[in-house]
Formats: sequence, C-alpha cells, structure tokens
Amino acid sequence: MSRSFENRWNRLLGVGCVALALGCSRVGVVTPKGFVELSEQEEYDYRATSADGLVIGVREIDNEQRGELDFWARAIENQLRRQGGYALLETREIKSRDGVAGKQFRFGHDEERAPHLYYIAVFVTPATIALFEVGGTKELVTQHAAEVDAALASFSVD
Amino acid sequence: MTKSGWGLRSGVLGLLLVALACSRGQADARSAVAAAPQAPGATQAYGYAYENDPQNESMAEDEMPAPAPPPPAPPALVMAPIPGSPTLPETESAAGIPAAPSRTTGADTASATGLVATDAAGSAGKAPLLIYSATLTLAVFGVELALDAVERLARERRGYLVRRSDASITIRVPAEAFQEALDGVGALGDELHRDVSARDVTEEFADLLIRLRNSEVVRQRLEVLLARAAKVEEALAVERELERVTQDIEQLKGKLKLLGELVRFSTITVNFQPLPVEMLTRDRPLPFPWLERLGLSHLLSL
Repeated sequence: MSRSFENRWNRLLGVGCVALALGCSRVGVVTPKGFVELSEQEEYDYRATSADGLVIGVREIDNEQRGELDFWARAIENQLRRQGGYALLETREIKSRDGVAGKQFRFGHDEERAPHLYYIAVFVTPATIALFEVGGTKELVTQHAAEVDAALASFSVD
Repeated sequence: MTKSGWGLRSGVLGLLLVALACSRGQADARSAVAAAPQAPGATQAYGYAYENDPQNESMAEDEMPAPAPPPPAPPALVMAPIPGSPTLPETESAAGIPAAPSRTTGADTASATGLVATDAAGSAGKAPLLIYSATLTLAVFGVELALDAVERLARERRGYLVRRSDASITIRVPAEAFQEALDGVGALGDELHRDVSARDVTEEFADLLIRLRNSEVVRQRLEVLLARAAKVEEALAVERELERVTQDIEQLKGKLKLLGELVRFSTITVNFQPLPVEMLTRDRPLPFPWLERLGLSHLLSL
C-alpha cells in the first residue's frame, strides 16, 4: 500500500469519524440533540425521535418523471389538504444546506382529537425528490421548534 | 223530504261550488305568483337573490311568523276571489310572510363566496321567498375549539345550535346575518369546500296560504250547516267533516310556520373532515404511491 493511498484513506476515515461524532446519518441530516436515530427503517431513509415522541423523517425518492418543484409541491399540498383533511397553516420557500430550492408546508391535523402539527419540506433535483418531515403534538413541535429548525437547516439533498 | 234535509243538501251543494271556485281561484293566484320575476339562479347553488320583502297577507294572525326586517314596500299578492265569501277581500296587505335576507353589497358577497347578488327581484317589486343554506368543509385541526367557536358565532347573531357531533355542527342564523356568519365560519380554519344554495319557496308558500284560507272558508260554512242541522245523523256527518277540515287547517298552519321559520333562519353546516370521494372526482389520485403514505400516521408509527 502506497503512502499517498494510506494518507487519503486516513483522511476519509477521519472525515467519517467526525461526521459520526456530529451525528450525521447516511442521509444529509444532523440528528438534533435530544433525538435518537432509528435503525432498520423501511419506508424512510432516516428517522429520529425524541423521548416524548416528536419524530423527524427523511425520504428520498427517484424523480423518474423529472417533475419540478412546483409540480411535487402542488401534489403534496393537494394530497394532504383535500384528501387528508390537513389544515394548511403556512407555506415557506426554503433552501437545503447544499442550496437546493424547496418548499415547506406547515400543516395542522387532529389525531385522536388532539391537535398535532406536521411539517413537510420538499426539495427537488433532476434525480431526486427529497422529503423532510416533522410530526408530533402541537405542544411538542412548538416546544422543540429550535431543534427541528436546526435539523432542517442541516439537511442536504446530494 | 223534510225542510231541514233539503236545506242541508243545498248547503253541501253550495260547499262543492265554493270548493270548485276556490280551485279556480288558486290557479289564478298561482299564475299571479308565477308572473312575479324570480331571481336568476335562485334555486341553484351559488345563485343568490336578495331583497325585502314579500307579499301579502292577512291570514298571518298569531301563528304566522312576523317578517324579519320590515319590508320597505310590501308588494301585494292578488288573492283569488272566493264567490259567496264576503268576508275575504280580493287583495290583502303584507303580514306574516318572512323576509328574504337583507341585501349585501356585491363586492362583499363576491369576495366571500363567489355569490352574485341580483336586482331582478327588487326591481319588479316582488321578492322571492328563499331558504338559504350552506355547507362548509373545514380541515381537521383544532376541531373542539372550532366547534365551540361556531356555536358562539351563532349565538352572537341571535341564532341557535341545531346539532353538534365530534366532527360536525349545524347552526341556524337569522337570514339577514347569513353572509356574515358564513364568512365568520370560513375564517375559523382552512376551508376546503363551500356549497351555498338558495331554494325558492314563493310558490309553495302562496299555495299553502290559499289552501289554508279556502279551508277556513269551508270550516265557516260547515259551522253554519252544523247550527242548522235538525237531525242527529246530519249533525254527526257535518261534525266529521268539520273535524277533517280543522285537521287540515292545523296541518297547513304548521307547514306555513315551518316554511316561514326556514326562510327567516338560514342553515349553516360545518363538517371537519377530508373531502368526500365524490367531491374529489376532479382530483383523481396521482399514480405515485408514496403520496398516499404521507402524513402523521405513517411518520409517527415507529
């Protein structure tokens, strides 16, 4: 093994260790403090929960149809509002940490008669539709607003 | 044949003639009502017609609802003349028929519901009697609080609660407060759907009124005949008829009262639910299964 290869390998290993230490998962998101990442996720590429049950989830879907952000954002909004009965509380234009344009919808919905909040952000590249979801009781989401915002700010699509 | 028997038969014959004349008169009155211009689209959803106030009428008396806001110029409804009934005038003034909702500005209306106000009724001097109703579908969030707010909104506008369940509420508000109440309810949450309709009951109301007055005339005649009846069998026959006519009168009064109530108070139903499938025919599901798996139930099932 050459010395230069050995150096490169050590550097990569170092970066990996730093990433692990910072709480980076295999998708581009930093697990916020007070949350643990859940393993063996089928439907999600990443999911983390707080001890109280506030959940963050990330899914990355192949953008086979090459749909643009407006298309997928509209499809998600229709699905949740009209077919799911979710109340649209707010819409925000956002960007991922690596600069991909996205849109975040902030919905409200009662689960077992208790008000819950459900935030979903969609980022679209020619290859990927990335969804960043947050959900929990209204009280929990409000209480952990800073951690949730930090996790979203750490999210990168590529 | 005895003198009294002959008199009773003449009376029955007279009644038949009255009934015949009444049915003719009813037809005349119907055509008079039909001649009154109707608000375009008054019976369709999103059709709207405003204006004060209907018609006539003297029968009103104690049971009939008083008109909501006082009519500025009550138009007259020409009643059919009833032969042999000197107690009934040919034309009577307004009373007892409820008013249509008061006019709102076109801008207000359009902005809130997309309803179009029309002058058709007012310009002709006769306004249709309309029953307004609306169904709103709001998203399912903070339902308990929203239900309380809807109930409060009704009370604040002199309305009342009709029905309340976990995910639905029905209130009734005075017709003149309908638009305002509708806007208030819509602002309580994320409105997914709104359906507003106005049903024109002018003709139905006029028909009931005429039938009531005719029945009252018949009852008066029967009372006269009863007083003249010489035999017990004759008296019993007239009494039976009198009982039937009295029942008719009570039923007609009940229907008129109900109709008047429906015109005076508009109904608003609020449902907190996803849109029913039949309302989503235009939004056929997109062929992307992952969309179906969005939402709290998936995210929170760990």
